[in-house]
Amino acid sequence: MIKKILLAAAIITTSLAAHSQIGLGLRDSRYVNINYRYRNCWTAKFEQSVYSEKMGYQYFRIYAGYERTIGMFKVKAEPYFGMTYNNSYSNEGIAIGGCVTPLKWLAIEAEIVPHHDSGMGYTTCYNAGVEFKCTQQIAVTAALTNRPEYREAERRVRCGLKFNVENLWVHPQLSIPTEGYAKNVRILVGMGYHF
Amino acid sequence: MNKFIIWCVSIVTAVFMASCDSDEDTYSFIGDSLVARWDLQDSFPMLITHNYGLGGSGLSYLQDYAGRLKGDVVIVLSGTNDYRKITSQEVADRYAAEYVDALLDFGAKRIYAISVLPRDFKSDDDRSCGIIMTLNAAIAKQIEAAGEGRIVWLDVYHKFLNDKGKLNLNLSYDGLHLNPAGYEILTTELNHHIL
Repeated sequence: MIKKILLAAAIITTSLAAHSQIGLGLRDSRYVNINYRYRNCWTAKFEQSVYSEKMGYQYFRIYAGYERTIGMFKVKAEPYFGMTYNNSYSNEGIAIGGCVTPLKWLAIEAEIVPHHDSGMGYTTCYNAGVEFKCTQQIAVTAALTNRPEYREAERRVRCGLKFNVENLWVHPQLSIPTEGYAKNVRILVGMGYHF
Repeated sequence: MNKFIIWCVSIVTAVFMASCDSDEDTYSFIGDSLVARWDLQDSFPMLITHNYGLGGSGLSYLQDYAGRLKGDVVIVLSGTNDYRKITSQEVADRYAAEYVDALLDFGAKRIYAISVLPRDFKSDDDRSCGIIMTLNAAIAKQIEAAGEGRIVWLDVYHKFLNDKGKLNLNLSYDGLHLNPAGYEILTTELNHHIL
């Protein structure tokens, strides 16, 4: 019996591995993640904050998603749920969006995110951005978004450079608020590597 | 694809229903430009924060908020713009009494008062630190007199000094406004008390 279970497990693992990809990443300088992609369309991700706070106030988020490429269009839907380890708050939502690449050097993306936070209620978030590919490895990016970088939704312009080298991408960005008295500019880095 | 959409909608609906809105504390920060320039989301990513900082403001600005912060946890950092008004111990005592009255008039759930920080701005005279120490002592005494722990006094003045008893310029951009290292001290001190 044990042999059969082991054999079945080996077959499933091998067949999954043939169509799957594992990656590591960083979002907005503060969230590390491990992600899994199956058959190039199903995705799952676990994200963990690295705040300089006690462990109970660290935040984790789980994503599951589906994306599909149809010609020059790519569409995706990605529900998520996140909370702190001491359950001081939680939030959840779904990112629904798409990306179109009308020219080799230009990509336009748009995303709408119904987002709910246990303490702050409901917000409709959005993200609209463009990416100009200067070379195969370097792109200039700009976006207008109100997706929370931490917890509160703030309208911000984000611009940066995206570097792609084989399995690795690095995306340093300036995040500039467009409202409020205090113009707290943040320097954020995103990166990813897939095996 | 249809199955996936149904699956996503079901999960999001279930999570929305499961997470009831909580009665989480709101942390309102009020004071002068030191508050206004504080990236509260970056310092307290797990809290609901409001920034009521106003550059150049002083005691009269705090008095304007009487009854407007009911039920909030309020953090006050103010006084540096008023230090030139403190010409004697008697004036300091009177100022401190009005300051504490203004704080109590907020109607807040809890109040944390951060001591006036040392300064070494280009237009300051050599007596600025001495005057601020006198003012801090007067406020601390007045808070103690208010009793019942209604206001928590956070004396961080000495944490911002260098060996010569002046503002440590490694913590400030210009001798008045704090840099990220300066805000880190305030964040750490507050986290000890509010978390």
